[in-house]
Amino acid sequence: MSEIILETKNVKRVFPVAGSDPFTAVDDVSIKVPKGSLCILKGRSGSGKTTLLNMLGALDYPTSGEIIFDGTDITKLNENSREKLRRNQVGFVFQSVSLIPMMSAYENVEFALRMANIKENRGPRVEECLKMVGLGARMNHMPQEMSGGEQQRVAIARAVAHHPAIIFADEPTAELDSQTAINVMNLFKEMVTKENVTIIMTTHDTSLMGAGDVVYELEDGKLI
Amino acid sequence: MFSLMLHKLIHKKWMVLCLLLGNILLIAVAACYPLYRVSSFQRMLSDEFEAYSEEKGVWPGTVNVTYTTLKGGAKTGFENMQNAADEALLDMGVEVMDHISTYNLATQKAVPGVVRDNVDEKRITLAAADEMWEHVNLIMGDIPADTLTKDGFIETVISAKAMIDQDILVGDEYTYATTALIDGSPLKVRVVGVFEQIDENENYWISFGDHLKENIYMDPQLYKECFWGEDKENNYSMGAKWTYIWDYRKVSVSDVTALISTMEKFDRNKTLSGRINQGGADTVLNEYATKAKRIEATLLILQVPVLLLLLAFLYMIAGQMLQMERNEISLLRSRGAAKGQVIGLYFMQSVFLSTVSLIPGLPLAAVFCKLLGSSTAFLEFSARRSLDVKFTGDIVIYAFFAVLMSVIMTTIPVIGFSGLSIVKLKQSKSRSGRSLWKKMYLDIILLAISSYGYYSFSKNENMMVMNVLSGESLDPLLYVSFSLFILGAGLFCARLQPYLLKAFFAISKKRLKPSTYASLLGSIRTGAKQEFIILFMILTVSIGISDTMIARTIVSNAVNNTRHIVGADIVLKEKWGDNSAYVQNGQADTLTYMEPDFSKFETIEGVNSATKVVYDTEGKVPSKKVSATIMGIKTSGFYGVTEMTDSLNPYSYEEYLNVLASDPQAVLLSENFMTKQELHIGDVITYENSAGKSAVGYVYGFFKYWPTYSAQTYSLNTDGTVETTDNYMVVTNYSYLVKRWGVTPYQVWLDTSDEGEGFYRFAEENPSALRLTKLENMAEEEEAIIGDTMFQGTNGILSMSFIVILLLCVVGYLIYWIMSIRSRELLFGVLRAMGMRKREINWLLIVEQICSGLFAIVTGGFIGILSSNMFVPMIQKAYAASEQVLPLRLITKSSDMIQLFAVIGAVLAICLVVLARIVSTMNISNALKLGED
Repeated sequence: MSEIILETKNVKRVFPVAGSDPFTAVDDVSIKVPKGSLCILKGRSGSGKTTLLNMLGALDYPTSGEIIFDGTDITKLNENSREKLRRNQVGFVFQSVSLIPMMSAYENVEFALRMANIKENRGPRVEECLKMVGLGARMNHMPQEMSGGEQQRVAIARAVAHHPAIIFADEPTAELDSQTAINVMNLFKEMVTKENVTIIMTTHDTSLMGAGDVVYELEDGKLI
Repeated sequence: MFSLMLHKLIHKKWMVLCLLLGNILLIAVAACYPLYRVSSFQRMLSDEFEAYSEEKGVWPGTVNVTYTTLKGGAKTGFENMQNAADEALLDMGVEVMDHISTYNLATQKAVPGVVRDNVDEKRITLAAADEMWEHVNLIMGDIPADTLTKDGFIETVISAKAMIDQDILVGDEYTYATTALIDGSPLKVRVVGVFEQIDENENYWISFGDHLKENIYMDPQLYKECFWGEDKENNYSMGAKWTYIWDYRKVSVSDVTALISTMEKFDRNKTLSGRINQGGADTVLNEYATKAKRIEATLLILQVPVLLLLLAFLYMIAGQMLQMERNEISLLRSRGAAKGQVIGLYFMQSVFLSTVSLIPGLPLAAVFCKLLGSSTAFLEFSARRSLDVKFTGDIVIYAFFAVLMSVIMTTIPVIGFSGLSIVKLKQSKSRSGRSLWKKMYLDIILLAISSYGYYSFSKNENMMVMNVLSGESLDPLLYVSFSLFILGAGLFCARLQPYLLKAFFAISKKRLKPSTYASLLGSIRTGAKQEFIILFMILTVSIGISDTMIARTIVSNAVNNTRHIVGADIVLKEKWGDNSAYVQNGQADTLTYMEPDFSKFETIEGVNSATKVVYDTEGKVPSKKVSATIMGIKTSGFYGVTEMTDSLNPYSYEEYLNVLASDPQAVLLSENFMTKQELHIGDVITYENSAGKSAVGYVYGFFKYWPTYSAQTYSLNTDGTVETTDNYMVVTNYSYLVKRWGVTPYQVWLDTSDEGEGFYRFAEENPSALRLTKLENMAEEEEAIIGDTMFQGTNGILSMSFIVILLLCVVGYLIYWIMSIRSRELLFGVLRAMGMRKREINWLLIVEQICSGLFAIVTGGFIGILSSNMFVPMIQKAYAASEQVLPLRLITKSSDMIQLFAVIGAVLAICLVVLARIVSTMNISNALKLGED
């Protein structure tokens, strides 16, 4: 096994519920994600995979437990460092529209570079990424002018553009037809090899499982 | 459907509150106008009546019908005439307080039964008056009998005064030489008593006048029996006068039109024409009607911008609400609801909201009306001048129209949305078309139209003066041009804004921070959405600014102008004693005056300084054949009580006064002596006062403006043309005039620090020391201007507009941005996920506010000032056309601007705080989940 880039130790997330017992969305989850792998978090709707992913991506704090990213427990970091982490080391792909609506495909990708404060050679990198996702010819289109699959590919290009160490993708294929979904999966695999990036994605689609290097399955917030 | 609507409303409570606010304000503003009109016009009408009564010393509600016939010429008949007069009064529908009928035969020779002092013939008028006996006390004798005496005499009484003047005694008998009773028997009268008036100030005596000292009075019933009737009237020369005293205080403004037309009808009435006199009421009513028409039009016009802004506000909020409900509408449509049903739902909602708004809207209208009535200056209100608010039928019409307009404005946007099915909704989200007004170049068209209006009005400024002089209102087109200019310029700037942003963006794109970059790009790409709020803010600021400028300028110019014309705080003239009686008798050769004590003025409390000013408006400069006002001043004293803006004349005021003081015989002349009469500095002129006394002066200078001096006066000829008269003025030293002419009556000009209160106290306490023939008090004049319905209405309406505009601005802007941020929560979630900090998001919002809010404020301010500079001087003409002497100065009171910008600044600040709060409480993961629906 190669180097571990992300590890969780007994991560727990409890949501308070008004007028009722608190709800435990993620319960005592410990996983290890090797560097340069495509890791799949599998589970039905409501199994807690999105909550786990948000914590991994420093969007949310666990109630208890540790999340070690590249040797650092990110749960101990302050908001500033977590933001820095997000803009430089992490890329996100969300289930539905996550492109910035008033920016074209090109500008969306470029924006990730701006956020990461990359000033040199932005143009070539943006074009490279968009070509990689097969949208070299539609760079100047606005999100509204593209299909769901195309938008998701732009989101992937944006997630990878600033050379993040890790990409989190929350149900990236949920709104796509099966043909497109497979293309996206292939794209992820390609990225892992070409860009040497680690990808953690959630899905409820069992047909895509085979594509993963590492697969964890969640049910009612627990690993099974 | 109703319950669906209610359900919908409860879920959108903020939007609903905004719509309610807009509706309530719209109804209140629309309905307060008729309320204010009725109440203030009532006040104006009674003021006009009182002023007339004070000025002329008569009761304006007096109708006189007089009828005289000559022997052999009777046609109408006195009985008929009396009926016609009674009917006329009935037609007028006024409340008659007193009714006096007097009758008399023509004055003619009467031969006394007993000759005294060799007077064998007298001229005595036989008269009678209805109800006379109820108003007199008999000093001596009896009340005359209502029949002929057995020996054929008519019994009469005489007033105590006439008894002396006419030398008639009780018991005297007279026989008229040339007139006989109808049966041919001689007309003989016997004086049986002497009377005096019970109360000579009673209305009853109003039409008797001096006749009481001349006439003998018989029984009125007997008079009619003897002389009236078809068979008799032809035999006598006689007259009758029917006087009706009616209560003008009870005339309500709504009666005025009918009353005027009834009065005009009398002139065409064959019986009454030429015989009826309205005693001044017709003059007052006609003047009032002209003035009211002018004011009404002006005030209505002034209100239009705020009404339009309110409608725009409703339109905007309704549009926002629809934006939020797009999904629901498309859902309804996709589930089979017809287009008409969707429109119906929103129509019902509009009707419901605007009808509910009537409940608080109408009482608020009454509050606004009170506010209007108590306004003393822009944004200043005084409880001292309150107004009786009366609800009239008018306001139903106005309120109905407000509701109707509101329903239309809030339903129109639905029509566009009602066609939305889910499919179309998706499509529409990907389209962002250019606004219709941009495609139509509406901004350019409006600017062109209003510029043409500006151009043609400024070319015809004299025309405007004439129109206003002849009683016309401010030309609505002028104000329309003004409003269109603001709108056009606002639209133009809203069109310009994206280009400015794009230019800035293009230049700085590479170096921008991510948040600024995202913000600018957002503003550029979603510009169409912001267009309306930008336009709304621009209009708010520019209308707010022009409102303050119009109000301040109009009032302060009127006050300054009056101050200039009056000259000082108080200008008075005392009654001077003279020896004219001796001159008439030949006991003295020359007229000399006795100067009243002047030193008393310097001791009056509140009087800072006093000076003597010889002021003769009927002087002459014989060599130039022009009449001129001669003014003799004591330079230092004059300087103490008057003020002049230095920039008005070529030299400073001090320089003029110094040069005048340097030579006793120096004169300063009005500039037209130079331009029209070719006089130059160094010339010697001879001038005369009204008494023909002459003096010689050396010309030391010319002035354009001088206290009380106006270069030209305009007056309206009977044929409707305006006549311009040049006025000339000669200013010289008081001491020289006195040396030359002897003691000359002068005016006293006072500078006071207490608005003349001390002076009035002094006048009250020392009535014998002050006998005035003229008194002008600037404080009172100022109060009159401020209280004038035209000025007050203008101030009030503009203040109200201003307040409403500020309110709209606050609410409109806040709601727009809150909605806008709510609709972008997902976007902010994405940005936060990408690592953007909260303060970067805040900065993004600030940049957005700068692009829209700040841009709108700056351009709005610019447009407001520009348009005011262009149009206010012309609008001002509607207020003081005939007396405008001083050049117009646009007045901006910094406190108004501070108020305006402070409020708007606060709005922006609050807006940012609220937005920042929303951002900070926004949970990224929650925001992101929103997108998963």
